[in-house]
Amino acid sequence: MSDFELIVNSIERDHIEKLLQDNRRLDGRTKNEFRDIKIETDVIGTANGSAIVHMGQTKVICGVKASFGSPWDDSPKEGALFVGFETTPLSAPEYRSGPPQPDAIEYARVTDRLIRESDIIDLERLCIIEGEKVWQLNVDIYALDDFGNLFDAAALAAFAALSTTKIPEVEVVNGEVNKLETTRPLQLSSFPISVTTYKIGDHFVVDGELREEQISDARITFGLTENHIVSGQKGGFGAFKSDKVIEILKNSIKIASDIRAKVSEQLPDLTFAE
Amino acid sequence: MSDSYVRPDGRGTKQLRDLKVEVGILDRAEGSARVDLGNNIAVASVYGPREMHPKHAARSDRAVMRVNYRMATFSVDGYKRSYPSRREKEISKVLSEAYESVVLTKNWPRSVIDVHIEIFQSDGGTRTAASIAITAALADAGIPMRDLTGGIASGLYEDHVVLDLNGQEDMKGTGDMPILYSPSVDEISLFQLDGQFTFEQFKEAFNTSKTGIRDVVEVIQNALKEKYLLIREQYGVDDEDDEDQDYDDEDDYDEDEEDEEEEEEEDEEEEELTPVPSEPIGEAHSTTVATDEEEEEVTPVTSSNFVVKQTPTTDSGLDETPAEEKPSEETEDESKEIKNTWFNKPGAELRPMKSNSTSEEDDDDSENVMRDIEYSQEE
Repeated sequence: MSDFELIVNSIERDHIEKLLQDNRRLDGRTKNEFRDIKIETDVIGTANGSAIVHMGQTKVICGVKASFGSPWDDSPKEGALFVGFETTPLSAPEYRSGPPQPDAIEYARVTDRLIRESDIIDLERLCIIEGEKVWQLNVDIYALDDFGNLFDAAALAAFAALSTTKIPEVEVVNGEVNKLETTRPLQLSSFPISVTTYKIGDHFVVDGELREEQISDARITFGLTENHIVSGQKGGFGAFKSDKVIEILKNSIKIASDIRAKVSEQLPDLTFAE
Repeated sequence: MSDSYVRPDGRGTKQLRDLKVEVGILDRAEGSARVDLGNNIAVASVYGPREMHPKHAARSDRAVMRVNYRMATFSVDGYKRSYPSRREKEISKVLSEAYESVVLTKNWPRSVIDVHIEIFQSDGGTRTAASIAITAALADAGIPMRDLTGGIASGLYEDHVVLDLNGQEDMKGTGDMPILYSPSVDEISLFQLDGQFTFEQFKEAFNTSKTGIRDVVEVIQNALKEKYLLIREQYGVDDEDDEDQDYDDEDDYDEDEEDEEEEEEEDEEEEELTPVPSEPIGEAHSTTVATDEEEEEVTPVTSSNFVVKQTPTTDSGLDETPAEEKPSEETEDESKEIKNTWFNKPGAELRPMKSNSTSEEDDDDSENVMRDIEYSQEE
């Protein structure tokens, strides 16, 4: 970070902190307010499921591909699920193409944990021939515009894309697997929401936009389903007082249920398995 | 949720695995540590603060903490590919960020503190074993920190909140939450979670880890104390120390006497410079730790045995150690001591250890000869 950036950051930080004392933010939100969320689904023809999520100016796109694969040795009856994330050079000047940078790896792994641990998909329903052939789901998210908080946007995009994912039905004839014309939707069993809280001085704000993210001391992300805490990740150079972590979690649970209700309205196809 | 639940390895729900910390095990590094947490073996080394390379990664107001977490190819069942996995990269990132908040990085603008951590044997909870090694190695390197940070995971196994999951529990369990916590400043510097926790389980796991980390930090403190006591013993700082006699024996060397004086001076300096790692330095929001108290606790140690033996923690009041564990512990320690011989003993680079070798005089002589050579070269 150059000296210039340091100075600009400290000036901007003072300004942001001053606003936060009156529970105000650069874009007019309050501390516990998310940016507007807009979700478009089925945006990619070649994918089995897809979605674009707009969270304020932050935009990410997610595509789900279903292909044949082999099961893991320790779970012969289960399909495989992979979540990837790429901070493409499309989305910000600092991202370069090439091997994934630590940032991108962190986004991918945190989103992967959220989707995987929420038991959103019954992986046994993805089994075709036990021990031999299963469906492999690749959930890949690409950043389009990084205006902060890619964690929460990525989680929404992954969920939205999965909610629209349809897998071809198959028939097994003499050990041969044939894809049929008809498809079936994945049956989702939970609705995980990611809530990231940023620490700026003594203040805590959810869903930091770009400048807030850049000047924040630290962040903490909770992945929350209806009844459980399924993932968590602290990042940034600062630290959290331990009682604050509990406080932030309580707040995040409340916010997550609000977002869940709002987002459900935008996903008309959304149905859950019994 | 009863506390009487006994885990597959015989531990109670709130019981740590055996934890052993040794500092100063590597000679080249500025600070180093080996941690045995159950079956995990983690070795950490610290180089720096030193010039940042590449330059553009330097920050003009502070040093960068660059933690590199790696697992050895033979550390797991099967063979681990030697190139860093995505998991290793993520853990390196979160550990780097965690120590940014602990180390007083503003002391060294534009530089980097490199911490390398290698896991040689793994059995669940390697990142927390790594963090214990990092803290010990940083303190060993004399790098000022706001607090001694400890790391431990709590998780869910068969619906019980359990402390410090081993590999089997991690695999079969339904939740894992590693944290790094600095007890005297009450700060969480690393937090990760996966699994399915209810809010109540989360709170229990969180508090269990915090309590566990107090015990972890105590083990780190003891390891550091023992190293410095050992150095003191070897240099004969204490008046009643036998080593003074050693110096008298060597009086026939003229130059050696000078040397000795010099060494003693150095030693005094070292005493002053000895980092008291648990004392937060500088920052306004740090609370003072009762370091005086610790001084009182210091008891003479036998120099032959500086390995910190951590008996399963009972003083936390959380759990009772099963009575049958005591006899087995001795045999276990013996085997571990044999394992430990693949590293130099702490302080060994300073002076051969007295009680360790029978040919101590020879060793000393050879060292003196070396010094003589150095002297003549200077002249």
